[in-house]
This record gives sequence, structure tokens and C-alpha cells, in this order.
Amino acid sequence: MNPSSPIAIEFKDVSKVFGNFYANRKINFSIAKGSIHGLIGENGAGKSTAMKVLFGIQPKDEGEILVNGNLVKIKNPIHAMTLGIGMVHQHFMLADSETVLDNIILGREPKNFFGMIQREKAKKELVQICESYGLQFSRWDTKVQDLSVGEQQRAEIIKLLYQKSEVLILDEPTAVLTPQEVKELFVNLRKLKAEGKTIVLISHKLKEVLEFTDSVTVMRRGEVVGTKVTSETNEDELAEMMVGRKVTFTYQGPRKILSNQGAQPKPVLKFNSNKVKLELRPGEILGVAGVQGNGQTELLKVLSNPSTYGEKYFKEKYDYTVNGKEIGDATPFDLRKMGVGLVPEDRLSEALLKQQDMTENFLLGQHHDERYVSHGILGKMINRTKVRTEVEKNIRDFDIRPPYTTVWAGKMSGGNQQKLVMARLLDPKPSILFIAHPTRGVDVGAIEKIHESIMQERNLGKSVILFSSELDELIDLSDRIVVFFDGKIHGEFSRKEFDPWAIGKVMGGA
Amino acid sequence: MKYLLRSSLKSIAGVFLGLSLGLVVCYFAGESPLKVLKVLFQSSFGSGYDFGMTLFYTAPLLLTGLAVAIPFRAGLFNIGGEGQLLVGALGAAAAGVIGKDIHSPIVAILFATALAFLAGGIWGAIPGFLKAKRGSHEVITTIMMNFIAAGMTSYFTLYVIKDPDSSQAETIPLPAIFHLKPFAIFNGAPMGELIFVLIAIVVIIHYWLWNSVRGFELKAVGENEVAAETYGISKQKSWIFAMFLAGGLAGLVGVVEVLGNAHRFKLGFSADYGFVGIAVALLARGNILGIIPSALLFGILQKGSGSLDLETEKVTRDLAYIIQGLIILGVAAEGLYERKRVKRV
Amino acid sequence: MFESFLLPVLRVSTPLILAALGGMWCERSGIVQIGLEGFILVGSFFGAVATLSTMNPFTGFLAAGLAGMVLSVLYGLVVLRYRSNQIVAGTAINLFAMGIPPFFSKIWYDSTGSTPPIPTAAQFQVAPLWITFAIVVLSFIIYHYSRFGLRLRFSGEHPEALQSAGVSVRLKRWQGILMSGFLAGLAGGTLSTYLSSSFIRNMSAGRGFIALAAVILGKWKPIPTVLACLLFGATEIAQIRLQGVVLWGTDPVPVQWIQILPYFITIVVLAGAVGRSNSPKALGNS
Repeated sequence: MNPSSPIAIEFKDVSKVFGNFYANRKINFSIAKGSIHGLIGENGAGKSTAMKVLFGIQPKDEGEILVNGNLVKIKNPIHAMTLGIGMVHQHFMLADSETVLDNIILGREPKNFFGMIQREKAKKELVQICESYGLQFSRWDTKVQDLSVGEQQRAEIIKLLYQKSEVLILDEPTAVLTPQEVKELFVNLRKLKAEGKTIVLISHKLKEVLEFTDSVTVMRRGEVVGTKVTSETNEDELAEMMVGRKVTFTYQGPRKILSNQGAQPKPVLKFNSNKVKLELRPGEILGVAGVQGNGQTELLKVLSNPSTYGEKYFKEKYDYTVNGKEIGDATPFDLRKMGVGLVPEDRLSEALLKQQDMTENFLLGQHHDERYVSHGILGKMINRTKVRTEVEKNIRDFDIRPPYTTVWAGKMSGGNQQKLVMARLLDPKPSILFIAHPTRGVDVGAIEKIHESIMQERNLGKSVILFSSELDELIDLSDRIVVFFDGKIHGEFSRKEFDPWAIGKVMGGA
Repeated sequence: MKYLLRSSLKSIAGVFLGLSLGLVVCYFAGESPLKVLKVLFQSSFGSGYDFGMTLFYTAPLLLTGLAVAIPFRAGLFNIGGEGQLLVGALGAAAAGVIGKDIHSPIVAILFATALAFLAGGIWGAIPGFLKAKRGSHEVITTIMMNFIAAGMTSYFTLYVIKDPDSSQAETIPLPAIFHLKPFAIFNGAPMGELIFVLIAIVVIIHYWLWNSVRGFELKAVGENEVAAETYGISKQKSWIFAMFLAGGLAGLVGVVEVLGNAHRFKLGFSADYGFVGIAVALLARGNILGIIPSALLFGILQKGSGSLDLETEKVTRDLAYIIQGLIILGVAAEGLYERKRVKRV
Repeated sequence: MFESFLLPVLRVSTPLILAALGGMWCERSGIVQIGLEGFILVGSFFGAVATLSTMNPFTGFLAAGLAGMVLSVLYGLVVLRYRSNQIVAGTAINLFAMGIPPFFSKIWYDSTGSTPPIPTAAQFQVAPLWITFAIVVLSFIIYHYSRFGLRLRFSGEHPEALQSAGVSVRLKRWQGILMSGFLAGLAGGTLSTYLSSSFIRNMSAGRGFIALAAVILGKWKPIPTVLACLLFGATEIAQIRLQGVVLWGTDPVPVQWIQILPYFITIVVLAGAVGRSNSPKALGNS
């Protein structure tokens, strides 16, 4: 970084706390004016939070932010915009059924005496903006829904330029783009930079950051690991900073040696489509790594609920067997009977009934289980006394707090919610477990407990597919890791080959 | 428990607010609020007949209240109680024509009840089906179904099973074997054992929704569609089922009216029971047992306001609409009961 | 043709058009509006009352709009300020509105829900037709070409985008609600001062819901909504004209079948998935 170039944005000891969880802890870095600055880190590293604080979506709890050297207190996005800060969100802020022009000029429409919008005048201004920044765009009167994703993104960027933003924040701009579109995007970003705009690129793809930025700040677990001049660093160094060498919460317990290692054991689960070929061996933890949006979610949905998602996500035929039995389009209940259990990706939206107590949540998915059901004249009835006894036992075993069955799931902490979900998973004693992001948004104590119980299941000979965006976690627990990229399995590592840098590179598409 | 207490307090506050505003309105009309209250009370409880009539107005509200509350569990808003009850009542009336050769009173009444339930149930299941399969919003479809039900029942009443001996718009009367006997102490008010049956239905449904597997599934779908689906519960099935049950229960209003009171289908018999049912369910706040006091309250209002025409100078029975509307608004306005208002877009 | 069919269709369509445009504006701002029926009812009552007391139908017409608007303030308060469920509040408004005309007619005219007839001298001739026409044209222009229309549309389509552009979503929604109250009130005014010569009990007779159906059928756009209203108006006239007419077989067509046609069409269209994909994206999510 050239020390003489003026600073556009500076973070000084900024912290953001949710409950007792630091999403950002005393972060410090600065962004030079007229540069492309990368902000990288894994999912949940705190990049987005930092930018949300900068854009005024969330107030910071501590520290100072300087814009052009002036100390500012950014109250809301509109305030941020008047300071010349604009943001392209991951989910575009565009109304699909309206025209591009209307979307761009919204809030700053030129109008005549009668309050009528002067669309031609606006269009002229936009054409001029595009010309001066060398951007190609002409579909002003097209509805947003008829644009490609890349075009929508360009419209968002033009919107920021129309709003006279000087600093453009792009949140994971390439996540939804095709490689060609990515190329175009960066060509355009360079043109903007040449015209003096400052660009912040939030990403977790090492390659693009190395290729397109001037400097890069690496974040990890809510903290800034360091800021580097891009030309003076390399993929290995960034990967190391991003993933970290030291694993913070190492599983210390026993790891049973797989008895059948070396020989070719018969897999307990097979999934075969033309994109994904996957086999789960008995008694192993198979880690699934990958940057979000590379096909892991789809795989998990199809594995756990083929009846609903089979056709939706895998249009071509796929072959899915559990213990040698063809699955077809089984329901989650069918799978459950075959000994398959699930911890879904998103705890709150997929796994819990927030306004119901622990007993009810424990029942979800188990409400047909013969242990908890009796048959009466009014049909199948639930024996809640039995369920409650079981929940109480699990509360003790998993140390769930507060230890009352009547607590609403939505009122519990993330860690305790997850323990509840784990307890429910293990209650029917499944032999094949799909576990996704078991420790996302979970406090340290609970992480240990959850890791322990996953390992315990493995050591009992159960087979686990573990989906996680925490590479540490996968390396710590898995016997084998497959890495997803672009909807396919892009690499596979056995335990003795585990190496965060190598895996990180494959995650980035190398 | 704390939740239950707090929500019943909200309901009581809403009723209090709506009622007081209604009485304030009376005051401005030049009528003494106290007198209005007295008339309301006396007219609903003053005599055996009066009380019987109050129960007669309460009975349909128990059913239409359930017809709103059950789909609500599954996350659906059933505005179609009015249409469902019309179709159900027509079904009950048709039972007399179809089953005119039935000789056993029990069979006759069960037959008419089943027909009323089925007719209403199918009417209710249609919007449920459209929601499940086509994603059509149930609020709009149930409103439309109300009007279609009105047109259809009117057609059947005037053309298909019209009573040729009557100059009124009503169907052929049911044979005496279909009639439900009222209690003698009600002095002619058309309400008998049926009220106990209906209360029992509310209690059973309360018990069933809470304890059955199906009830759990409805709740799970209403609470979190995605989670329910992730764990193998079909939201489509739950929706269709909930709407069928709701429509069937609303259809049973036909039993109250056709078997118990008019012994035929009379056009325009419903005192907006379907819509007041929304208020009843809302006041009960998702607690099925709460429907009983809540229906009684609106029954009192319905019966009591009938006497306002005669007993007071300045207000009419239509005051009931004003008070009902205000009570719903008072109960529904969540923001009234929060100490700190959350800032919203 | 014009005298016998088109003119009557235009006449009976005026209340539908006015109410539907009101409903359209409100729903476009992102607020569900099933209270149109209530606004129409109070509008028609106070329209008649004001006409009777001033002997000027224009005053009456304006009063009708204002009466609807006053009731819509109550709706807006409950929905926007106290965050009531919009469907519940709309139902409550409809019930509430049913009690208003009888309440005042008792005091003012000692009648249980109707007004005395309006003398011929104080009746409208054709003015509401022209006023409605002007409102249709204005709605079209505002919807497509004005800043106000654009912002109001975004408030229902993508409120976050509007808010982050520095415009208050809440204000737009208030404006949408008030417009629906005023226009539906005017719709009521046409019922009592133009299509007939007094207010009678439950005069709205479901027109609020037909208007809502027209909004859905018209995909929340002004001109298609107006066309849907004309279609429904035509069925209303057809229903009157076909009374007792034998079209096929030996019996006349039952009017009920024609009566339910608008509702039936709406359901069919909704089931055809048109309704959902075209509704404002943020409708009802507040």
C-alpha cells in the first residue's frame, strides 16, 4: 500500500457484539482511495458484519470509523449514501417487475412541475455515466426480471454511480456469476477504479482476490488477521491467514481406528449422479467442504428428502442407495425408518419451531415414532408424558439450558438449540447421520459437547456425513473430506492428507 | 402459563376497549350507556326464553369460531365460514328431501348432520386444495367462495327444492323426524341438548388438536412450514385437511338452524355467523377452549342488541356491528399492548 | 346498443371502478385491503346524507369520499401504527361499517338504516361518469408517469429498496390506504346519489369484494383493473336483462348463475396462478 495515497475508509478498534458473541472484535484496517480492496475470510468470519456496520445497517458497539479522514457516526444506509458509500448486496435491491431505469432512479427521480418523472432526462444522464466509466449497458426499459444476473449486478453498480457513490462495497459479487460475467465485472471495476472510485470486494475466493485487488484484509473468527498488499502476497499465505494453523477447539477424545481401513468395506450409502459420486463407508465421518453455493446444499436436501427435492435439484437420473436398498423418492419418514437422521443446515428456519417448547420440538419428525404414540378412538395420539421424560433425560445428558422442558426453542441460545437438535437426531438411534453446520453460531462450550457426541457416534460404528463451512471442524473430525466446487466434487482428501491450505485451494477451484 | 395469562389479559383488554368505545358512541347518540348495558344484559339473561335464545346465537359461533381457529393452527386464514355454513345448512335441508323415507329419528339426524358436515367440508376443502396445489391465496378464494355459496344456495332454494306452499324463499320443510327438540325451560327458544354436544365438540377438538399426531402436524406446519417439510410433514395434506374440518364444522351450523330452528333452509338466516366467527376465534387467541366464553360473549351481544330497537330511543340492534368491529380491532391491535413500540418499516 | 346496454354497463361499473382503483392503490403500496366494502357502505350513506342536507349532489359526492377516508384512517392506525393483522382489521372494518348507517339514520331520520329519498332536483345526471373517467385517466398517468406512483409501487414491490433510497415506506402506505378510503367512499357516493336516489340498508351488497376481485384480475394495474370492472358491470346488466329470458331449453337462465360469475372467474384465474405471480411482492408482509 502506498502510504502517501489518501485513505477513504478507516476502521479503528471497531467491535460488534451479538449477545456475548463477537461478530467483530476490535478490527483495524484502512482502505486507500482509488483502490480495489479485498476483504476475505470464511463464512462467518465477520466480513459482512464489518461492511454492514460501515453501511449503517447495524450500529457498531465500539470503536471509530473514519470516512475521508473524518470521524463519522453512520446512522443508517441513507446516511452512508450521503457520505458517498454505496453497497451492492448479495441479494440485489431491485424490484423484478419494474424497469431497470425506474429501479436505478428511485428516490432521485428528475421530475417536472407536475410531479411527472422525466425519464428521458434520466436516461440521458445514465448514458453519460456509462460512457464516462466505460460501462456497457443499454437495456433501460427492460424489466429487471428479464435481465441476466450479471446485467442486474451492473444495473446495481450504475445505481450506485447515479447516486454519486465514491466507495462501492460489493458483497460476494461473483457468487452468482458465470466465469464470463466475472471477467466482465472485473474489467468494469477496473474502469471505475481508473476514474477514482474506491471499491471494496467482499469475497472468500482467494483467486479472484489475488487477481483483481490492490490490497487485501483477511478476517477470521471476527478478527482482522492482517492486511497485505496483494502484489506482495500469495495464495498460500492468504490461505494460511484465512484458515489459520492453530485449531482452536480440537477434539481431544478418543478416535477409534476404523477396523476395516485398508480393505474395501461395503459402503452404507451410495449416491450417484452425473455430477456427484459419493460413497459413505461404515464407521467414518465424511466431511463435505466447499464454499457456500457450490452444490453442497442441494446434495444434503436430496439425500435427506428425496421426495421433495429429488426432481427439483437433480433433473437427470440419480442412483441413491442406503444399505444396498434403492431409495427412489423416499420421504424423510421412510429414511428415518431406515436409520437415517438429519441435522439441517439452518437451525432456525429448518429445524425448530421457535414458538414451541422443547417437548414439541423434540417431537418434530418423531411424532409417528411408536415409542411416543398410542392408538385411541380419536386416531394416533401422542404420549407427551413419555416424550417429556425422554426430553428431561436428554436435557441432563446434553446439559441443555435452561433445563426446563417448557422453554420455547426461540428463547434458547444457539448452542442449546443445537444440542436439542442433536438430542433429537440421536434419540431414534440412527446408523447414518447427515449433520450440517453443527456449530454455526454456537458458543465454545456447546461446540465441544457437540463435537464430542458426533465422535461418540462414529466410535460406535455409525456413519456420518458432515457438512460444514468451518474447515477446522472438518479437519478435526473427519476421516475423509470431499470438496465441492461448481456443483461437483472437485477433490478428495484422506485423513493423512489433510492440509488446510491444500483443501482451501481446491475450495477456491484450483 | 404466563403466556396464556398474558394473552387472555390482552383479549379482556380488547373486549373492554371495544365495549367501552361502543358505549361512548351510545352516549354521544344521547342514550345512557348504563341503560344500553342493562338492556343487553336483561335481554340475554332475563328469562328462560331469553337465555335459550342467547344460546341459540352462541351455538353457531362455537362452530364458526372453530372453523377459523383450526385452519389458523396450520397457518391459514379462513374467511369462508359464511359460505361453508350456508352450504352445510343447504345440505341439512336437502337431507330431508333425500332421506324422506328414514323412520328412525337417530338415523335421520345423523344423516342430516353428516350431509351438513360433508357439504361444508367439501366447500372448505376447495380453497385448501387450491392453496396446496396452485398456491392460490386462501383469503381471496374463501371470500369468493362465500359469494358463490350465497348464489348457489339461493338457486337451490328458489328452483330446486323450493317449498311450493310458501311465498317465502325457503326450501321444503323437513319431516318431523328430523327435528331437534328444544328444552322446555327455554319456553320456545330453539335450543336443546345440542348446545352440550357443541360444547363437547369444542372440548374434544381442543383435546384432539393438542394430543393427536395430526394435531401436532397442523401446528408444525402453521409454525414453520419449512421445518415441517424438512421433517417429513406434508403441508399440502395438512392444509386440505384443516380446511375440510373447518368447513365441515361450519357446515354443522346447518344442524343448529335447519334441524333445530327453522326446519328448512331460509335464505338469509345467518346473522353473519361466519364473519363473527373470526372475531370469536381472534378473541380466543388460538386457545380452542377460549372459543366457548368468546362465542358466548358474541352470542349475548347478538341477542341483547335485538332488544335495543324496542327498549331504547336512539340506538338500534346494529350497534352490535359497531361493538363487534371495535372489539376485533381492540384485540387485533398488537401494538396497543406493547410497552415499547418496535420501530417498523 | 349504447342506450340499452353500454350506458347501463358504464353506469353500474362506476362504483366498481372507483372502489377497485382505490383498492389497487392500497395494495400496490403493500397493504391488503379487504375493507373496501365498509368504505363503500359509509360512503354511500354519508353521500346521501350530505346531498339531502345541502341539496347538492357534488357536496354529497365529496362527503362520501371523505367518509370513506375517515374510516380508512381507523384502518391505517390499526394496521400501520398498531400492527394488527391486515385481514383481521379489514374484516373488523367491514363489520364496524355495517353498524354506522343504521346508527346515524336512527338519530337523524328515525329510521333503521335508510335515508329519505333525494329529490330529483338534487340528483346527479351524468357527472359521476365523467368524474370516474377523469379518475381513471389520472390513475393511469399517476401510476405510470409520476414520481408518486413509482414510489408507491416500490413500497409494495420492494420496500427495502425504497427505504434505502431514502423514501418513507410508511408514508406511502398511509397514502395508499387513504386513497383507497377516499375512492371507495366515492364509489359509495355513486350508489346512493347516482345509481339510486337514497341510501338503503347494506347498499354496498358485496361490491367491495367484486372490486377486490377486479384488482386481482387486473393484475393490480389501472387499465386492466378497469376492464375487469366493466366485465363485472356487464354481468350485472346481463343478469338484469336475462331475468326470465329463455336462452336454451324451456326454463329461463337462473340469475344466480350469472351473479356468481365474477367470483367464479376470479377463482379460476387465481387457480391459474396468475394471482400470485402478479401481486405486489411485499403485499401483506408488514
